[in-house]
Amino acid sequence: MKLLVVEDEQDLRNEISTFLISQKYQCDTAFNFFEGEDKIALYEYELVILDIGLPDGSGLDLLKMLKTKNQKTLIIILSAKNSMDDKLAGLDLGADDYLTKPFNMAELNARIYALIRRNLHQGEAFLTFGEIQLNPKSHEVHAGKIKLELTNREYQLLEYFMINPKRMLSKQDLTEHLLGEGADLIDNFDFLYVHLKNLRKKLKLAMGIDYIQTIYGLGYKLQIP
Amino acid sequence: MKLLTLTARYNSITILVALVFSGVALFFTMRFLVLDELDEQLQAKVQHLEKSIAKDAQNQDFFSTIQLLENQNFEKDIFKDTLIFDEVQQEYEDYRKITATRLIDGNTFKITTVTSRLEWEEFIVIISFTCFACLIFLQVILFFVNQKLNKKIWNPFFKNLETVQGFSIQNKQMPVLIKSNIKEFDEMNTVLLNMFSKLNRDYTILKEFTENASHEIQTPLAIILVGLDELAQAKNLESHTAERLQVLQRTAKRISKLNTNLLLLAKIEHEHFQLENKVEITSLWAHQVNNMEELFLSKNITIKQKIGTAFSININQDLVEIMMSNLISNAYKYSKKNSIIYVTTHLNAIRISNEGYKPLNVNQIFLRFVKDPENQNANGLGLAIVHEICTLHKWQITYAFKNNQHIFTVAF
Repeated sequence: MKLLVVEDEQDLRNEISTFLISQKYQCDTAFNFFEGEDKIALYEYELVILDIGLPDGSGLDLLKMLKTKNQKTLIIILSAKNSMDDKLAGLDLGADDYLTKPFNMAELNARIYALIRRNLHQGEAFLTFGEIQLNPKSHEVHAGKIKLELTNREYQLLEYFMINPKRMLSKQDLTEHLLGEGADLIDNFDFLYVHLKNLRKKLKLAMGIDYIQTIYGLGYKLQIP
Repeated sequence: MKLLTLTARYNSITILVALVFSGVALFFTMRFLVLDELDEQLQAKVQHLEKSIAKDAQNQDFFSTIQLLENQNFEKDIFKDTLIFDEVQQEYEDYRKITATRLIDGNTFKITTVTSRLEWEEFIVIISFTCFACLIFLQVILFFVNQKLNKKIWNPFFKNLETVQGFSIQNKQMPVLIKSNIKEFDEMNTVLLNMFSKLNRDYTILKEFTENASHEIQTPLAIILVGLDELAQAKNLESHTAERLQVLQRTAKRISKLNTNLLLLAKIEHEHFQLENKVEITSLWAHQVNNMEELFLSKNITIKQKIGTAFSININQDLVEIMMSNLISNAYKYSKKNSIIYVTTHLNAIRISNEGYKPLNVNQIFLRFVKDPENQNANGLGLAIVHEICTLHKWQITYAFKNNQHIFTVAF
């Protein structure tokens, strides 16, 4: 799976590409319109992560170019919040998803996964971790031999964990995954606790152990203890 | 009042006054002229009588009298209106009478004679009436022609007014103003176009500034947060390190939210949200509350809704939604677990209330950066944003504390 990251800020670009490589993607980078243009001309990318707030105002142009070159390239645009116009323009021009900065790597990972699964039909249809099997298409979850009955929110949390296994996901991260920009409107984690607690109970009931571990006060990690 | 109505009204009043004055003036002028004519006639008659006296002819005229005067008092000719009984008509008729003193062959005579005014009276009336009718006719024609002309003349103005009213700064298009050959209208056009041009420029500059500023701040924040996240992935973190990492993450997030909200406030103040359409408030309010239902549930908070008659207003939907969500989120944040919040609409207002212990300082809560001392992580802008949106649209936002409830009401 070949990915391209177009982002002008070097540190962020490095962070993203390091992360994606750790997730076993092949990752190229570009820091402005021209480098992006070159790379796109030379290679085929399944998915491009594009910062549309590129300083020379060229993010949208690159987007247009991408769409012209290959309709099937999946595109995730990154934008600063409040850039309503850019966001809408990007989606209008054919971007498949958008993320606002600042964002979590785990969230980016989940978005990439979702796009690839929906559009490229590659690989296995299931997510597995330990004894847990999750079917992203049908939303069916089996833990051990038992089919789990999960609420929407519980499912969303579990799926998020399973796309990012063995990674500490902070409470903030998890809440934002569930609520998106609505997470701005709350300032505690009661909402998260309720659903997480129920999820963990159900998992423990089905498998005898709880894969979701609390990491100090920071967050939670899906791992086999 | 509409321009053409006003001009029509003034036209009518002026015409009416002019007509009345003209009519009256005409009548009096004619009367004067006629009387003058009569008096001349009378003097001619007197002269005629003089001649007959001199010839010592008999006075045949029934209406004239000749009197020999003892003394020689010369008096000026006197003209008077008089009534003489007409045997045939059996009524009194109007006559004009002259009393004159003349010296004929050494003797002073007092001569009086009359002439009928009736014919002249009728004549005056007919002429006046005819003139008056002509005047009215002319004025009416003029009036309509004037109206049409006025409409035509003002047409460029009206068209341009419409165009300008429809101007939306977010359209990024300069309005097209119709030229006319009226100097003042063209001057107005120039002024307006310059103004719009400047508005557009300012808007664009501000927009770019706010969005660039946003971008420039959020990107470094993204780097910080991603970095902290990676640090937090380390195994075997010491608890105080973990704690510190949490604090740093929280703080960076706070800066991000603050940045977002400040930019939102700037945009509201500079009226970036121009696009308006009809929004049904009651259902939107209910919808926004329902959106947050899950959250309230997680704190075991019951929502009691009472929706009154539906009403709509013309407004930018995004702005209303922001205002509503901020109000609701405020109620959410400051509600205790297991409490009840009340959400109502009534007439043309929306209201939300949550439980509280003591009243908030109404002079402070809508200011920026004022927050609940127990909640340091808030950025204190939520209610400021609500207040700003309300102020912009001249909606009334009020706070009351009654029965241990914090009550926020917005009247549209």
